[in-house]
Order: sequence, then C-alpha cells, then structure tokens
Amino acid sequence: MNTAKLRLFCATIFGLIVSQSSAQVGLTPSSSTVFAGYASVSYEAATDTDFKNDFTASFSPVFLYDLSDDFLFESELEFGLSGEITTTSLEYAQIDYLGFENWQIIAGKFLVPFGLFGERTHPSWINKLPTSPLLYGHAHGGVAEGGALLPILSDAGVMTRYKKNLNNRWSLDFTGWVSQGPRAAPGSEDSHEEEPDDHEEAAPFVQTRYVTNSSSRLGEDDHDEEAASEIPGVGFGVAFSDNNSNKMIGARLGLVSGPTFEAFVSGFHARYDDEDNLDVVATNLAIEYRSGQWDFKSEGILMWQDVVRGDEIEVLNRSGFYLQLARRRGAFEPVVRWSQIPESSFNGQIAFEEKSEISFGINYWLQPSIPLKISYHADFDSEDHIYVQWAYGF
Amino acid sequence: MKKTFLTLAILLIPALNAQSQDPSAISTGAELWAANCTRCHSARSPMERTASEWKTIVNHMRVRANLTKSEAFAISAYFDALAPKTASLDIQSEGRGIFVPTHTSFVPFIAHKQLQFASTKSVAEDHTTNATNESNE
Repeated sequence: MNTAKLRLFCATIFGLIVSQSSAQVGLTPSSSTVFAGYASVSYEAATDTDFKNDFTASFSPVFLYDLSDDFLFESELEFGLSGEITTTSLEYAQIDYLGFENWQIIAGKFLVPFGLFGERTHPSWINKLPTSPLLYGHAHGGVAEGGALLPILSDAGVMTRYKKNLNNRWSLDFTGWVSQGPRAAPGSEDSHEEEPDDHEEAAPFVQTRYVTNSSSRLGEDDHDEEAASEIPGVGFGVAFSDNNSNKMIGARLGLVSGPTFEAFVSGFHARYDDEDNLDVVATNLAIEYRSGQWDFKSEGILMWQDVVRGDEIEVLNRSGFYLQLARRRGAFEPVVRWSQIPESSFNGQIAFEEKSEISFGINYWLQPSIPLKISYHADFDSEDHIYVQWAYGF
Repeated sequence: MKKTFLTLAILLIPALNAQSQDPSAISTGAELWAANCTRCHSARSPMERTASEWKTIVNHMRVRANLTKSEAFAISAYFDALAPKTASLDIQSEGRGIFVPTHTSFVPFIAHKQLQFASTKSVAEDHTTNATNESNE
C-alpha cells in the first residue's frame, strides 16, 4: 500500500468514526446524572360521625444516570408518611438499553405496564385527583389495599418494548415482560412463609380473606376455620426472590394516534403459590382520548384467581373499571371520576362487596408541574372524603 | 486531486450529521414533544433544565412513552435549541422558581406552538445572520 492510498484509507476511517460519533453526540452531551421526581402533601377528612382528618406526605426522588447514549440507569424511591407509619419503597431500579431504533430492552425492577394508570399516570403531579381509582391500591407493589383489585404493579424482571409508526399519525406500541410474579401472602395455606406477628407490619400483604358457608359474609378474623374457604392475598413485587419457579408473563399492545387517542390491551399470567398450582390471570383495557382541553381516561380490569376449596381448585372472578373526564379552563381544571368494583362471589358467598365511588375535583395549576387539588369523593357504601393535595413535579 | 476531493468529502460527513442545527429537526422535535409528552402530563418548559439534563430526561421518557430512537433524538434537538446550555439563575426565574401563572403555562399546546415558532424562527434567524456575516466577511 503506497502512501497516498494509506492516507486515503486513514482519512476514510477517521471520517467514518467522527461521523458516527457526531451522530451520537450531535447535541449537547447528556448530563451523566439528573435528579428529578415528585412530592406531595395531602390533607384528608372523612365525613362520617367519627370525624377523622389526616395530613400525609410523600417524596419520590428519581435518579437518572446516563451510562452512555445507549444505556440509562434509573431508579425511584418513595418515602411516604401516613399516620404513624413511614413507608419507603423502591418503585423501580432499572437499566435501559436504548441502542435500537424501535426496540428497547429493560432489566431490573420496573413499573409493570399493565394498563396505563400504574405505569404512567399515578405520580401525584400527573394524577388529576389526589387518590387512585378504586381499581388500584395506593401502595406500590404488595397487595391491593382496601379491596382494590391490584396495587401499582412494580416487579423485577426483563421487559422489551417496540414501537412501529404506521403512518404520520398512527403507531403500534408493544411491550412484553417476564418478571418474578406474585406470591401468596405469608401465613396463608398456600404460603410456607410465616405470618408476622403484627398485621400492620405485615404490609404490603393484606390479611387473607375467608368465605364461610354460614349465613355471615366474609370475615377476616371471625371465621370458622373448618368451614371457611381461604382466599389468600396475592402480593406483587414484594421481594427480589421468587417463591416458586413460575414467572409472570405479560404483554401490552396499544394503538396510538398522536396526542389524541390511545387504546391499550394488556394482560398477564402467573402462579402465586409455593407449589406452582394456583393461577392468577388479569386483563386490562385502557382507552384515553384528548381533544382540545378535554381529557378522558378509562380503564377496565378482569381478574381470575385460583383458590383451593377442599381438594378442588375454584376460580374467584373480580372486575372493575373507572372513567375520568377533565377539562382545562385556564389555570383551573374540573375533574370527575367514576370508579366501580362489582361484588364478587366465591363458593356461593360474597367474597368482596361492591365498591363504587364518584369523585369531583378541581385543580388549580400554579405551574405546568404544580397542581393544587381539592376533591370530594362520595363513597356509596361508607363515608365520604374530602382531599386537598399540593403536588410538585420536579 | 481526485483523492483530495474524496478525502474532503469524507471529512465533511460529520457536518452532515449535525442534525441538531437543522431547523426542520427542531420543528419535528417540537411536534413530537407536544404529541407524546402531553399524552400524560402538562408540557414542561424547556427552560426548567439545562440542555444536557433534558437529554438524559428524554432518554428516561423514551422508555416511559415508548419512543423510537430518532423520535427521542428529535425531541432532544428541540430541547437543545431552547434550553440553557448551563445552569443559571434563568432556570430558576424562567423555569420553575416563580409561582406566577402565565397563560402559556396553562395551555401546553399553545405554548408548544409559540415555542415551536420561536425556535424555528430563532434558528432561521441565526442561520440568516451567520450567512450574512460570512458573506460580509
């Protein structure tokens, strides 16, 4: 190779290398670490005869660490204060590989993309009301609280995402994941783990429910153990170790039209007992529509949980939905939401009573990430609640 | 001579890749920003963060909103054009420090359109100014 050819070869290699480099760093280089997140302070008052009111607070710092243009490490902690309990949780801690044009690969603990509320909308500065819809308990991971169907799902595993733009307006959005999956609550017949002494400390598991054959409805403490059918609580994302060899497998498929319309179908299957016998399956349909200052969100969930009854396995069906409509008028944003979980029966008895709630709220947006929310939640089966919440996204 | 031209052409490839200076990329980024970010939350002002911080945040949001790599790049180009390059008091005063509601803060899409127009206009003006200066020189 003569000198001229060598120079041309070196120039070619140099040009291509610099070309690739500038394609990656054509913009201002990314900041290696970014601190973001959100926080809120809430006041809640119940309207029953034993008037109760509480202040609660939460702080959820998000840490982003750019390992390179293609690798991002991100995690979110959540510190909460509620009554006498201070809660801490690791909402997610994941590494993202972003080197492909259409695909993403995520590993670690992530928000499970089941529906849209849990993964996207639940942060207090994004959620248009101070509370979650009845479908979802307030805890991240663990067992759904207060008869809710599911907690905000967060679990450890691997996830992949794919986006295909069909044309200038419509796109296809796919996510699939494999994660540790749920486990039966400690102390239940399907779990070998011992139940902690203090039920409050046992959170995020809720007490196991029992359905009896007597005339009484479900009881948590006053059951006749010989006649009762146990419906174990199912905990999600509560530990980095799995209680069985089965993994949760799930997927979400969505059709998105610009900022206007989104429809997502998602579902998962897992086995939650120690012996890999009991299934829990859930499906979700989420539809959102935005037009001008109007914002409509909705989600519906169908869930099937295997429960042992004697020598047989029977299925407990549960379902629920919410519809939410908001309209921005300048700095103000009125919101209304209807949530409902129909009654579910097991073994001829009511396992979970119907829950329904209508919520009216009005938000005042101090800044695009700082809403002041006031809302009234009418629960048709128990007392009503008033909330005032100041949220801050940073 | 032929080899010299070839070498120069190869060395010019990086300049062709500098998409961040392309007004159409910024405009596309602004549209993608409005189309994707406002699906979940109010649009945040580019002035809240430095350009380098936005680049990391856009990567974070790329996962959440399931954006393609080129979409994330275009949105980063949009922030790169508008956000301050270094942290300063401007970020506090123009971004999130002052609790004085402004009309544009509350109407994300209008704000986006204004920013889009401003960014395209300012980039176009920069290009025009640079071209004029170069021709004068």
